[in-house]
Amino acid sequence: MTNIRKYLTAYHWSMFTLSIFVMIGIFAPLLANELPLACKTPDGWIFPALLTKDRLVYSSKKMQLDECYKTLIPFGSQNTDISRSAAKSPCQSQQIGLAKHWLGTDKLGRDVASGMIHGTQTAMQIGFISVFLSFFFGVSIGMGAAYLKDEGLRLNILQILFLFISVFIFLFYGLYELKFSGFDNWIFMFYFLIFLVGNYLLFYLASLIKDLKNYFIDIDMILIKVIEIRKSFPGIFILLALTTLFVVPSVWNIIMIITLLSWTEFARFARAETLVVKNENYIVSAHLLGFDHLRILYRHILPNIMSSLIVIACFSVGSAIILEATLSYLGIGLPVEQVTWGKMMAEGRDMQLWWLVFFPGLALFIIILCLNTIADVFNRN
Amino acid sequence: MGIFALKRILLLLPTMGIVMILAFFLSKWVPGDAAESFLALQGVQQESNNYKIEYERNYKLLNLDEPLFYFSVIPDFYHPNINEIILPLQRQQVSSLLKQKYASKAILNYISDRDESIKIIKNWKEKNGVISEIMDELLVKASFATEINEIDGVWQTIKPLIADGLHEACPVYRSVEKLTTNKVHWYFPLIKWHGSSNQFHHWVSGLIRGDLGLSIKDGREVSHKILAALKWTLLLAFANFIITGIIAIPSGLAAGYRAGSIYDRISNFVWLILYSIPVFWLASMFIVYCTSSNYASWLNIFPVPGLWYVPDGQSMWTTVVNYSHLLVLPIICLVANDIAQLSRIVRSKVMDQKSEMYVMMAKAKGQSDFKILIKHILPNVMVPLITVLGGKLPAGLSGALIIEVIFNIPGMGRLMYNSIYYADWNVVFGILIIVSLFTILIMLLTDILYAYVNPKVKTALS
Repeated sequence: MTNIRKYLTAYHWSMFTLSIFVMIGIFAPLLANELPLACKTPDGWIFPALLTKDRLVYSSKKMQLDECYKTLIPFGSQNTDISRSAAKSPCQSQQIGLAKHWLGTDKLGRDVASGMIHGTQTAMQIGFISVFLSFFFGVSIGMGAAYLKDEGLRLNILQILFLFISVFIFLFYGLYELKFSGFDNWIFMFYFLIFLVGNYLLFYLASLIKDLKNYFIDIDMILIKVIEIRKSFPGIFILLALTTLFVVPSVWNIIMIITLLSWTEFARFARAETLVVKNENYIVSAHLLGFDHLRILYRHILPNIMSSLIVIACFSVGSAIILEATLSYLGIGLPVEQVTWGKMMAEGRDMQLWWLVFFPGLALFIIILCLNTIADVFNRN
Repeated sequence: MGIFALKRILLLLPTMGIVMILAFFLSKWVPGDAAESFLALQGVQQESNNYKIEYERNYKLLNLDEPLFYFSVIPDFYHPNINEIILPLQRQQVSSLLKQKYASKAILNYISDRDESIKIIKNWKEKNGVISEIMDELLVKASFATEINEIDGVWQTIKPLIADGLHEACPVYRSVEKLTTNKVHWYFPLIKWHGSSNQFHHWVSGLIRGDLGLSIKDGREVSHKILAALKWTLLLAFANFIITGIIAIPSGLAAGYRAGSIYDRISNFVWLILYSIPVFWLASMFIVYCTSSNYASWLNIFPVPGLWYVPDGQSMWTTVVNYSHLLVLPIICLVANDIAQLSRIVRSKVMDQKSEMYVMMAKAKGQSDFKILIKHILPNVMVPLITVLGGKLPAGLSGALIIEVIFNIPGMGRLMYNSIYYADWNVVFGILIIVSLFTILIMLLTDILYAYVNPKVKTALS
């Protein structure tokens, strides 16, 4: 009992710390910004840090404003100040202009505390969004494949033919239209809708014809092969090769690549767990009660495999954040002007400045430690 | 056993094929023109007279004029093999016009007619001594235009500037008209078979011969560069492997056997901390604090990570001895995470085994704890560990990348990183495919080894 209580407290602490990091990530522009949070003008209050339209008002009336509330750290992450405060240590005496640099500055005079806060935003975006996406795709595909393993997807020869032709046509026209007229959401949706409706109709017509031999389509085997192919490209090498393909670096590109690379891990675990749960008595009785497949998958199987999936999700968030930090440490993949933890650490290593290395790494370490503790607790249960 | 191995190999062949196809198409997707980079490497300037001839020679030498794959699925109005057009500018113009859905025959017709017309007009100008800057500008514009409106507009502005009746001699007016009428609205897929003379075929046969092309940075063979780098990465990987095993397995065994003891709790805590430390943070902290006397003179323990000078003929052993002091810090950083991970795995496996009947039997016989651990539990723990360790080896290759970059070790990771900066795609994708094939090989070996040492699988096979 004492053991459980001990782990519970560690778990609570981790959750608490993690949610503070998430909050910092969400409210980063309100915590560290060169623009004030709120200002009193003759026409009423304006919020330059919050609203884009107030920014213009602020910059035009800067001189006349007397009552302004600054953000917690009154520096933007990209504000440089080489002449006054370049590479200042937090312990060193500083020429105080606007405010003290609590965590020092880098070689261009950018405030480290502000960079830390904006770096949290990038790290949280990449960590959580990419894992959310890969969780969604990976778990759906993995569960589907395991669920259809034995009773399977049985199609007659006409249906297989239709499937091949429709996939071919969809890919052919979809890709070439993409090439000819660029990416357009509506055209893509239109094609996809035609594809789905046409496919459904054809499937329906084909199923009307009786006396055709049914063939078993082994989706599970295909998934295993896909996972094997993904596993044969080792992590950071394929990540580096893929990031170089994009001409314009951005956070969303990194999120997409990490999602593309990590969904197979979720699919693998969801598949294995579903295979274990699938033949339990309560699933069999749900079948006998006549529940439809989607309900069985999401109401009966998913809750039972969730705790082991959360373990994987925790590790994946950690490794996604580490991957982002590694990439920006190497100076690849993110826009040059964006301040991230990895970039600060790389600069600190080159310039031998301890505060540039210590604080971002400490933040990374705390996040990973929290995630590992949470994963540990779920693993024990 | 042999049949099992053969079956595994046969099952891995399609995976290998798809991995190769993916790596090849990724390498073809990168920006830039390979032939142009090779010309730059040979020192042929774009302004020099023989540029065109040299370009053509290099283009054909690199097989760039061939189609990409054995077959291609294209719209029926498309050019069957757009790579046949050797001049890069012309190739871009054709593909840009194809994107606007004009039939390829009309496009090729237009391009040859355009060049001929420009020649005719230039001849006419020389003969009649016409000097007109606007005209020159328009002609340049005409030779670069890719949008249909622009093309039409330019030629219509040229029309009144040249002598009456000359535009009848220029075939371009007819072909532009033809081009506009040949706009395609509907198209059908066309599957074209190219046979074995394609770029993928050449690439794969090169790969089998060990020929991955030339590096555009220094003109050396990619395979030589990779082999030289691979030694270092393998050295790091094996050092990591052995040190991790030596420390993690005993510590995991002891912790698992005495689960709940003070030692177990302390080691659990330490491993949890060590497991969560980002490797490059550890490395950077070591470099900042422990390689100079900036912060305290007693902290200056390790040498500064320096540049490595490795002459071509020098044996690996000499280099290792020369630079052994530089290898200490990288290996410490490399093993930190892995020790923690492995010892936690061993601990949980030992805890599973501890409650088995055979352990109780051994205890009842009065064997010492040490003997039970080494003789009875360890072999049973090692069997599932094979899969874990097999997965660690390729992961070690990726883990070594950032360590190699930070500590300037001339391994694969550093080579890859530098090659990305030089846009040296042959090396980047050469490394990618070699590392992938290596990973597949390790997967195969672990599977076979697992089946070999595990009596359950062995009997099930026979």
